[in-house]
Amino acid sequence: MKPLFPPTIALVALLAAPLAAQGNCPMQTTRHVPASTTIGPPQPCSGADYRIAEIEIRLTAGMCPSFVVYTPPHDYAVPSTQMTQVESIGAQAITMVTFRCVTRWLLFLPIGSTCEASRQMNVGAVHTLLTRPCATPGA
Amino acid sequence: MTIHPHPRRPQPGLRLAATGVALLAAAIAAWMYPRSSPPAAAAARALASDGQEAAAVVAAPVGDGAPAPAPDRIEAAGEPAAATALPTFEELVDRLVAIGRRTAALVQEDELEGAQTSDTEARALLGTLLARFADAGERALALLADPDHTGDPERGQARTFVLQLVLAAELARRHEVATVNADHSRIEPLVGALLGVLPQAERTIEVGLHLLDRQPYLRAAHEPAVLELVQAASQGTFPRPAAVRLLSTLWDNLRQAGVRTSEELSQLAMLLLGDADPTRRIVACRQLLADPRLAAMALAWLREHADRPVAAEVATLAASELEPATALRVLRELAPILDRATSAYLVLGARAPELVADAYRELLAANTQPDVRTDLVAGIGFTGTPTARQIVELALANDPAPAVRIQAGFVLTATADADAGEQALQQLLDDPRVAHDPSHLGAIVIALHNLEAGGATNQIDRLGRRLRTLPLGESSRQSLEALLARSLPGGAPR
Repeated sequence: MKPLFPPTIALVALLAAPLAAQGNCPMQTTRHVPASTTIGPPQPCSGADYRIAEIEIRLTAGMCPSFVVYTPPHDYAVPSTQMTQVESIGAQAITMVTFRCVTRWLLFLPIGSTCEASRQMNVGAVHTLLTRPCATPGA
Repeated sequence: MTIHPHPRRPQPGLRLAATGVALLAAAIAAWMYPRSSPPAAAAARALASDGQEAAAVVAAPVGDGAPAPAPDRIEAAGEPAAATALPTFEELVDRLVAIGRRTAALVQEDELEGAQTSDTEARALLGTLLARFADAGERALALLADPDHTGDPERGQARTFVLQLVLAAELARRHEVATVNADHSRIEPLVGALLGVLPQAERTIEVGLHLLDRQPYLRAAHEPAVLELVQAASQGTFPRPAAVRLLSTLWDNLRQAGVRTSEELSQLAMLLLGDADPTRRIVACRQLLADPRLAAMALAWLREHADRPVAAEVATLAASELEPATALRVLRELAPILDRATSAYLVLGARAPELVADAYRELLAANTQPDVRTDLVAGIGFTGTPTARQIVELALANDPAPAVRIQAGFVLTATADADAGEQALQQLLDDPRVAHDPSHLGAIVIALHNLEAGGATNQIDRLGRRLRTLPLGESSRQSLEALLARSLPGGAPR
């Protein structure tokens, strides 16, 4: 007796393998993000109001950021149509430097205060990713 | 920097004389400044239209408490021989720089009384300079474009500050006159010249932005020059953030002056959304997000086009500028196209910590958007508020997402005492999802570096020993070993 629909069974088997592989494969690739710097809200620095003749000069915020955040170049995973997956090959710190306004000089000029870095800390992590092919069944 | 004209005080000259530190020049300077009364405005107009030395002035200030000497009255107009006896604009600027540095030295030597006197002298001299030179703005701009050649960086910085101060005062007084008289013929060329000088150097960009950003001076006449800078930004020859700020300020001013309606600007913004230049797309998004009717459309456009570079900059702008609740909504809407927006949430957290804390509680209860929860914990965690510690401890104890709990570890290692930081990292390593994942372990090693700043030798020692036994990636292992070598006696855990 001939097997029932042998070509069909073969076809199903042929299709099932990649489908199974696809089921285990996240099908992702990487997208690169360049480094960026973000400046936090300004804090009052050289903030005194000064009068020169009939004009009041207000040296307000904008001189000294409360913090600056540096995010190094990194990657993140995005969906892909390829049978690929991503893997972290390294982590880098997102760094925040906080600033304080130090008044040193009693000048009416803005150099009367200086904006100084007070502390540096790691506030998070981003990753460098690598795209690899998903393992094929039986490989 | 903002400059606010004040109403004239009664008898300023007498007051200054009584203090023994002021000059008649200051009184004349006061008289010369534009005021709101019509005669004063006329005087200011005369000053503004002259463009030359226009007043009787005293050039040599005193600061020793002695009675003010009789002024050397010099008529500039029609008396060129006398005018040549006065110090030039540049010499006055140099004198201001010298007084400034002398004052600084006096303060550093705790000679506060002398410093105050010196400071008063500098104020009077600046008043003199502004009164004497109706074209002080143009002169300051010319010097600003010409870098200090002395090779002394501190002197160069002080000179730049003096010139910035002169320009700020000049713009303020010309704006005042222009507003009173509806005549911008004196201020517009100065602003135009400033825009022209802007791209020359980092120094000029910084000064120009300080003078123009969020100020009322940019007008329709400056649109071509601003768009040229936008074009330069798209070619990489001018910083994009600076171009965004200038174009944004211009649009704000056009709307406030009634030159363009919000409707017209929003229509222009919708057209610019499709522009090839990212600077224009960013400014277009900023305009649309500020319009409640069109914000959703702008967000939808960003999501549809997956315009990540623009979305990242818009996120930061939103966090800085928009009303906090609106900004939070924008950040959450942009989450699908931004992998993370930590820095934007840090900015928003600094502005509205309670709002960020509430958003975290809400998302934790729903157990949704773990990436946003991570950024919310960062946003609230570094604010130093009492709520910050509550949220961070809540996240560490209860959040199901390892990345969020690791973020809490970052906060505690950076802001709490060493024992609390160690306890947080040990607790994270107790979770097999963290301890078996090289990616998470890499983040833990980075958080461990925060303990180094506090000299937490024992804590680093214990955590280092544990981390060494776990499956770290190669770069993380190298980073850990370098940290241990720096931090521990003998360079290794016991």
